[in-house]
Amino acid sequence: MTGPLTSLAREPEDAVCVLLLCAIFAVMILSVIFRYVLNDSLVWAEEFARFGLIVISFAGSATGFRRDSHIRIDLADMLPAAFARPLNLLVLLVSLATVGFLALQAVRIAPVLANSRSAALEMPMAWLYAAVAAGLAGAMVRILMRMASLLRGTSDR
Amino acid sequence: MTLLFGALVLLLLIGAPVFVAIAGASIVYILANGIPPLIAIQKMVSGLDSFPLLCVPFFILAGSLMNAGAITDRLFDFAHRMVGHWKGGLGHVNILNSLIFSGMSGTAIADAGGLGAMEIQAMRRRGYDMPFSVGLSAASATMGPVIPPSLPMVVYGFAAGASVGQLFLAGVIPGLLMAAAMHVQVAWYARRRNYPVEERATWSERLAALQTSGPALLMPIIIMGGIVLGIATPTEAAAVAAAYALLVGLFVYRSFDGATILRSLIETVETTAVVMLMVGASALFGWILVRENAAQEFTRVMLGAINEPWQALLVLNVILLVAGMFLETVAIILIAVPIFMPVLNQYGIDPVHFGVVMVLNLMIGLMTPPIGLLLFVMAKLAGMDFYATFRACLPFLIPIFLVLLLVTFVPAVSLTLPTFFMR
Repeated sequence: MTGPLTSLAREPEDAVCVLLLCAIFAVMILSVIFRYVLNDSLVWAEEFARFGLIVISFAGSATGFRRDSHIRIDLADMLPAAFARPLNLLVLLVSLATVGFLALQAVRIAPVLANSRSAALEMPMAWLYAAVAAGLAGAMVRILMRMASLLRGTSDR
Repeated sequence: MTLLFGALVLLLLIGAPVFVAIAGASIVYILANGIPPLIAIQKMVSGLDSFPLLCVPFFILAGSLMNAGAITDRLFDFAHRMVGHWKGGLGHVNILNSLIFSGMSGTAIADAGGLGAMEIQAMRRRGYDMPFSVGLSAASATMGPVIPPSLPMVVYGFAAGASVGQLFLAGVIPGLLMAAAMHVQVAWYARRRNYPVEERATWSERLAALQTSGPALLMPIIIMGGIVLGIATPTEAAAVAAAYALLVGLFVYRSFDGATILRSLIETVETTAVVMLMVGASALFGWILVRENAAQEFTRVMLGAINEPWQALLVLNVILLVAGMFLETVAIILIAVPIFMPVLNQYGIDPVHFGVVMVLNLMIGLMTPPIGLLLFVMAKLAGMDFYATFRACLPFLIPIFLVLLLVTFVPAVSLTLPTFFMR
């Protein structure tokens, strides 16, 4: 039991995503039961699950950067080490710029959405974008950590 | 447009993650054209905000739980007792095993990663040569997304506005044909190379194996039954399938502990995020293509050059095969489908039919360089170099190609089942 649990405690993005996945899983099963057994549909369930999936996607991007599991063409493997390291650094820089740009827009959109609320949960839409921004910020941290270990020479990717 | 695609190709080539390449190229376009930059995050979020897409994490979870329990071993055992005594037995077992597992999992990569290792190991122990085992395991894994449930079909249905239930049904016969074609190919190799046979199991042994793998075999029936009978939406069916996989692992096979389940959950959120970010980025990219009138342009060029539907299908096939060599499956579907839809309408090509054509093309793309994700996975599994892996896979592209041709030019192969059950 120690393995995955301790890793979950160490990697907050995994913990957040797993909790959210369990939550939307439970809510979906609940809504199926309500719809077919109790003949009553949970209007908020669908919206909760949709928003949960959005947050998982952005927060989980940090996991993807931490473990280098985002799908990509890994040409660095075929290059001599002297080229591989700068190329990987360049990829991380480009990723940082893109993710940073998206995070910035997710923050900047808040005042635009000041008065809009979601249809079923009546949650301020700015909250959803705040969670998205937080997830992207987490991804930026993971990219910076990878860059640091690349520069220190503790890893070559 | 030149700037957009130029940036995309450049970013992909330096090795940026696919979602970074797609989003990054879109951002370059947005900045160059003075579009309000808030559009970038807004289009990505709204692209992900969809109920049908919710089945993605649940199908991934269901497949992951099935792979994590001891269920895969039991399926292998079942397949072994059914066809192991044929000439080249383990080759046939490999195909049957992947065929059954494809009814539980929706991606080729999951099938290759989970079953591939086991199949290659078993075949190596019985003296099969590595290229044969590797090529066959890669090819048999491509049945995963053709046979329901299928992640690419869900994404296609989302992009094309087509019924996921009909798409799932449309994949059944082509998937079975792929299996049949591969069995023929294995039989041919087995005779020429004198591959070994396994001991023939008795019918009572087979029945026993059927009994132990029965709960696992029920899962595809639950998914398809729910969707086809109109009882459940694909998203609900996916959630129920994941719950079923959990219950079977916990109470029938008793192969789950907390750590196994937790590892499955972590794996699921990771894969989900990787797929969904590509979906979001492609939504942004697609918005730019609409702004650039890409679909109208493409339709105009096609109508000017081509008269017959079969010619149009041929051209679309070639485009998809080339795209599949360079880009990832989900990204291609989301970018190409909006551009292709008006052309399909013009030539009267059924979007459900074309969905199967598209997925088959992209499965070939998974097995072709320079970017074949299946090749990467298999190369790592087998400890072979990338191009040696491609050479090993090359002959096994033949059965997939034959099925692609058949499915492309004989619409009935894909459309018979959905027409019968759901129209």
